Amino acid sequence: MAASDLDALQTLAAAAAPGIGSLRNDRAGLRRRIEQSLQGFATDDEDTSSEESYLFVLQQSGAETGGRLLGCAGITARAGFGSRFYSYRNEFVVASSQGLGLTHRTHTLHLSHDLTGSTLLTAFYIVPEAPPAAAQLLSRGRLLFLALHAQRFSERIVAEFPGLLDADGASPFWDAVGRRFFGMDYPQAEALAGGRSKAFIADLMPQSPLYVPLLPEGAQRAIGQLHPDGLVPFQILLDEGFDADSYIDIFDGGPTAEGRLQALHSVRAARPLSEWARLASITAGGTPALLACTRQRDGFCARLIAAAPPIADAIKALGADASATPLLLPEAE
Amino acid sequence: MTDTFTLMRTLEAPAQAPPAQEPGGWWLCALGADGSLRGAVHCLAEQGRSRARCSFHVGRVVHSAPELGLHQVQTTLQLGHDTTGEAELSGLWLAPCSAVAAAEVCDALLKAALASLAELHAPASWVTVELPGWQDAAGRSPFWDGLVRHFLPAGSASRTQGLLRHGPAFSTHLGTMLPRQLIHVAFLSTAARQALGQCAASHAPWLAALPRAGFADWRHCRIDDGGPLLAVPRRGANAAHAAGVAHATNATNAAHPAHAAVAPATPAAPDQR
Repeated sequence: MAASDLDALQTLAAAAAPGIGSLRNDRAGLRRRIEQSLQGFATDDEDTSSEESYLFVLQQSGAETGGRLLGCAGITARAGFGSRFYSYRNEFVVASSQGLGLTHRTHTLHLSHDLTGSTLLTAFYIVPEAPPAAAQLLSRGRLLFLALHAQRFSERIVAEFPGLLDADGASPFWDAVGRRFFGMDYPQAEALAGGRSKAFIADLMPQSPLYVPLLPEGAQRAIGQLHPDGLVPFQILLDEGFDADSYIDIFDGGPTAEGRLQALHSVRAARPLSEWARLASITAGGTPALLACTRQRDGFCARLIAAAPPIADAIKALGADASATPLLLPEAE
Repeated sequence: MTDTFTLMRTLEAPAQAPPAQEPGGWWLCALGADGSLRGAVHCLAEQGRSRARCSFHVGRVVHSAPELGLHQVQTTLQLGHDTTGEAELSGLWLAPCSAVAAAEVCDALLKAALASLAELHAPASWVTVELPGWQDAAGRSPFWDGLVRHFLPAGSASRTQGLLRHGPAFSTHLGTMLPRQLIHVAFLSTAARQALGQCAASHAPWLAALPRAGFADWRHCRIDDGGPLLAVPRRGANAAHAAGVAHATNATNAAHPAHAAVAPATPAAPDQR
């Protein structure tokens, strides 16, 4: 990502679903994110503070498209840096009465800081017309970057996904929970917070467990439910080995995926690109078969690679020490 | 027109009265000139000895961010056994009669009960009394429907069935099923919030008489129907009662309000500023 990408990034932000996401159509904010990202990439390993964030853009190749941006994705080195990162943790409490002969299991949500300090995947957006392999490149390219520069990041990787909205664009979960404590829409609350961290808002939420059966049915159904716009990146992370059953976003109830970096499929399967060139099995007649990336941090680049002869070309382009991992395309394709 | 009656102390529970909350203690009965029972109350020096006594503490938490102009006062419920060790009046019963007569019987029973409890060498600091909670026209408890039933398996016995089967101990059994952690009242249905701390209409004469005897809202409620708990300091009960009775006499001469209410335990809805 370069400073010159600001206009294109804002176009992507404007196209992203409004509401509760980390990519907001706020030019000053986007400029700040780009600057932070450039600084993050440029910072030497020994100078990192864990406050770094990184932005990646998906650029269409080919002369006729002029390098059009198709999407973006980000990484925040440590969630809740210098403060707290809040989530609701799903738990079940079992109560039993011998006298009544009853046992009952109650779903509860516990306000938690468990994920504070984890590495956070953020700001994923891809234009709807982009091919599935492009989404893989954008999402999983980040994972290779994490693996290559693991000393900068936590072993625990998390990603928040947008929650369910009703037909009017309102969040049933926020309306049943957050609104009771703010009396306003979530975007309003965030605007009121003046761009401070979500932790600032979360500090005003109830600190005691939330008993799910007390919530309206619409809010209960929204717990852990994904907004359709988040389906593609969500599925990619699930295929990687992320788990999304434990935590939800405290504002819209959307799922929070969590995984261990070294256990992720892409990371386990990654090996030097030069090794892949010797394997015939992945040279499947012109179909993109590998996701390869440069090893260097500043100027990081990842791309899709088709078959054997182009691998040699890719090694030239990406460097002899480039890393690569197989693509994980859906079976239907 | 006032009635004449005498007070009698007995260990035997009157047939008409609801059961005492716990065994032990004694009954005070108001008997009419014809020997008929006009009212009764059970006195217990120390509650919680025979079973765990559960109640919700009705409290408040403040969610505040002054720099944003946000200041939320939220009402909360915390399950506990706060009445343990305190003295108690229960089994409150009153024969059908005029409001004036009811007030006289209630006042006399409460005065005698508090005097007898004040004399005891017992550890209790307070004398508490719990009143049944509000029920709708169909006899259902909005508090039960809005809170309690969510923590029981579907198809469980109703509150009425539970009370019939287990008597006052039903509340103890129920306590093991309810949340141990703070409950924000804002999450309850509107009807359940409105029922919190509200007394059943059947006990309106007692609700009117208790403040005259010095009782005040104790910021607790019953766990099954949200009925209010009131309390008076045990040692100060006589003095408080003397003042209360004087007031009661005046009130009797004027007109007893049939639905006199103590200060509500909590605001029915969160106070948002």
